[in-house]
Amino acid sequence: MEFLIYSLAWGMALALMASGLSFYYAVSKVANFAHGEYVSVGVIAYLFLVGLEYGLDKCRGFNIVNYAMLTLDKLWIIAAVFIIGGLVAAASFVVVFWPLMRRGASPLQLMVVSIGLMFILRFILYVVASTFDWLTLPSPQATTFNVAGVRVNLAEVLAMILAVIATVSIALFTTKTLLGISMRAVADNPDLAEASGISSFRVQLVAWFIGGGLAAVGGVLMFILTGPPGERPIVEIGWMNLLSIFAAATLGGLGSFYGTLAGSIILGLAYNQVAAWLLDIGLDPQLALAVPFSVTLFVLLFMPQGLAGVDWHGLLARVQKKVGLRGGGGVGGSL
Amino acid sequence: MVEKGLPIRVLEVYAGYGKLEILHGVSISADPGELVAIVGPNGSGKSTLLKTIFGFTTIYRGKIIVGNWDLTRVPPSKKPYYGLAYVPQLGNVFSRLTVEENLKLSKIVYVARAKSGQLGEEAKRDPDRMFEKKLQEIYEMFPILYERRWQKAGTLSGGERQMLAIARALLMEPRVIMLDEPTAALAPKVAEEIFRKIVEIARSGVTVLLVEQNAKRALEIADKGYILVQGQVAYEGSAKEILAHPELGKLYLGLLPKA
Amino acid sequence: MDLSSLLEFILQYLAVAGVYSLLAISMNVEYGWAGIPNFGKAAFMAVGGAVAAVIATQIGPMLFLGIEGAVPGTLEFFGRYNGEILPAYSQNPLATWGVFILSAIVGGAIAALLGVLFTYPAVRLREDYLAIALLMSAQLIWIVLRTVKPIMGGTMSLILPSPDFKCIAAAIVGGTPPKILVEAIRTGFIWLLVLGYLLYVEKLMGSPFGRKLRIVRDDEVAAEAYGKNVVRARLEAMVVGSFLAGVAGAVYALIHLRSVNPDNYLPDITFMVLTMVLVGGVGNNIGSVVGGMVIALVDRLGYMIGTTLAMSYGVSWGGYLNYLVYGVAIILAIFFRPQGLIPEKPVKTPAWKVYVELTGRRPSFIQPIWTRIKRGVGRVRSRAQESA
Repeated sequence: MEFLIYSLAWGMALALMASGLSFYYAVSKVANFAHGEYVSVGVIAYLFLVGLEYGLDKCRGFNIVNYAMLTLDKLWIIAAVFIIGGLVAAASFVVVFWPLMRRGASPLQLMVVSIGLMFILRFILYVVASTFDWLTLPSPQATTFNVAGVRVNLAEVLAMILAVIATVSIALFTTKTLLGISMRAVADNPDLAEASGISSFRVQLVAWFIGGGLAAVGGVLMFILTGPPGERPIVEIGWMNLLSIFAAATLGGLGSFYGTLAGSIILGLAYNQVAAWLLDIGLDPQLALAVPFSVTLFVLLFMPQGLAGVDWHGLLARVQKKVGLRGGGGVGGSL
Repeated sequence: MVEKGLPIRVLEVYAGYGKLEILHGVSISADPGELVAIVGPNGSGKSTLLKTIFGFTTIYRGKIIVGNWDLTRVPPSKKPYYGLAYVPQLGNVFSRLTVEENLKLSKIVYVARAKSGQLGEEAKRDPDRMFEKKLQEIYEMFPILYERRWQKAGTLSGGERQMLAIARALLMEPRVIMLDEPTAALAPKVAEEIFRKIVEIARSGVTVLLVEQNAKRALEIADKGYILVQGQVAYEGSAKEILAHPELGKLYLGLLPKA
Repeated sequence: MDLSSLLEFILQYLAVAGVYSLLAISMNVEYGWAGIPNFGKAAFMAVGGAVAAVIATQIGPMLFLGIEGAVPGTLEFFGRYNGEILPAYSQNPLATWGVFILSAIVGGAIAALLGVLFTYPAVRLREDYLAIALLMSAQLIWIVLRTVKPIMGGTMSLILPSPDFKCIAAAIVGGTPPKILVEAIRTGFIWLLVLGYLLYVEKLMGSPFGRKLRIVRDDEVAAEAYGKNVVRARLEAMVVGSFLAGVAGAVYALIHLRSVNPDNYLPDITFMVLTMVLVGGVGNNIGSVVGGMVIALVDRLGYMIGTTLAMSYGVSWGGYLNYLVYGVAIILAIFFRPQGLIPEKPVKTPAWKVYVELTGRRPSFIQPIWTRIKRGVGRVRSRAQESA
């Protein structure tokens, strides 16, 4: 049971990161390799903000772990991390991607340039992390609660709550506000959106901000849940998760927010269950990484639209017809 | 009340895609409230002309004047704020948005124009309420859209989609509206209804530029007509004159001369 | 720094640059000519390395040394390999060369096969999806290498018998050759391979096959309309590129690193090779070599600056300067010089070759001189007969 909650929370943290990618992919169509760095930015920003609160001198090296434990009074830091991640993503859109898009760069060129951006961001992160000697740290843990005899920790709870909040608020945002509807309009038909007086730059900027913020928050939760990425420095936590992020996003049908959410949860459960099973039968649990990779390959080759490509409305309508209910109109579902 | 329609002047425009020039010095003019039909054979540059006016092509030479503004170098996303509306032939609705969401998007332009005072004092004072009122008017004009307002635009029939596209444009309270083949691939009965709406729009004082495949029908409802051939204006005159001309119809428009 | 250590430094740098050039040329075939973003390059190099490991530990001893091989990952492996097989290799220079040549050939062949296998199902995807598909495939290979111990012995580095250059040096000068000469021969050998790659690829590029690839890259629809089979052309490019990468992988493992470890084949190296191609100029082979040399220099300098910074200023992040340089290089390349340091050359097929291809006849001005003389003589003769 505890393990199930853990894998679910893992999936939710992945969902936050991957839906961030989907969010701006829908409007900008950039398969962004630097997305992993937004995740790492989240982790480093979290540590830095913790350091600011308790005094940076005291927080050098391993000492930060004593302070960085996730407790309820650190929620404002999570909020700040969202903003920092969002600003980094928005800045990379303005400085790198938008100028290239305006020149009519191909998807491949945008992808290659994102690799360059990834390297630069990673360098900056390395500079910060090694200045404070934070390259290798164990997970700082989180407050644990006892709910009906099951031990859950704050990171798990937060991952689930934030995933739900993100889903609900994004559903509201994209269906109720004019800016949100414009965002879906740009994703649907960029030319017509322009002819309707929608500033595609502003819409994309907002999408990148939200996407980067989600990635950063997901990164913090992932770091607290799983600790450092393999034997690598924590700066590479984003890079180590990037392929799983791509896997979840493609499984969800690149650019579909809800699809990505569902995809991440499925991947989270599958990955962790397989890893546990491998450990049980005495094999290297790293083999479980094969799950996201093969899922991506399968999806790309056989159902390139991902989960979003499945005709859910048709399916729902058929079910409703059987049950005898009238379909209430499909709000959302397309971003 | 400010005068509704705006005059539009296209002066000797050379335009095209990249290095491929398609329009070779086209001049067109429409007065406020006039319904101008632009007809001609396939590939003559009719659609390109509308795209050029809206800024989707490269203009090498010439000017586009709307009212007192020179809009030659204004990007497409700014054009609606000057009171221009453009309904492309394909992809003219957001198919993954509901009908109501499609219509609501026009609010962005409407509110901006209302606040700048282009739409009169009342709209300036309370743009939100006026937009709601306008929306109700549009629903009255197109009752089918009200019925289907929760449906995804992609599930509408061709005619309904066209009506939605026109409704979206009308909601911006445009002063010039440009329609690119609004009746293409529609059943004659539905096309007839669309033509009626277009006449209604022109009667309300909006300047209408209409590009049509169905030259005869378009000229019957239009005030003025232009025949475009190979990127140049081959003939201009009143719509009646063109219809009555013994040779023009046969030469360019595939019309049979009257018996 | 005295002269000999400076020379040694330069030789070592050139060796690294040569190996990088091999990789860059193979990437250029795919990315530069055919427009295939092969983000799985690491896997094809890994194939060369894996084959080298298997041959060195299991097949080579039987084939070249006459002793039983040892399977990595088993209990008695290290004892037998370090105690028996490696010393036997060092006694038998010819065997080390046997291992290298066999690894290069088999590695290249398997890599080529894998290139088709990876790309065939995904080749119709949009470029960026194709890139992700190849990247994921490469990661699957990496996982296999990590977990199937009998290939590379899992996650620890496995020392390999490098081809013996000492005996060649000894054959030249006799006795115990100076270290610098051995280095020089090693570097020379690598650059010989680079030259071979260049000649082969340049020749291929001027052929109808090369032209076809470029048509496919520049305009898929037009290529389809001209009757060029886009899928086939891309697959063929993948075969050539993967073969070259497989051979380069054997060189990388046996001559450059002299060891294998699955973690040498992470996507980082793919992106490094991609940077070389971008820096050197997409679609230009000499450019790829230049790109390889530049990145090798960046590597060396980055390492030197990093250690200097750490030693004299106590700055610990100097070692990551490479990332900054790669990143800036990629972004500048895409922004300002999509054609790289050296732009792609126009195809150099003389007009008469096209004429021959189209008509099956040689134009008169390049016909051998004797046919022209013969024809002239014939003409004179017939005129003489007419007048007579």
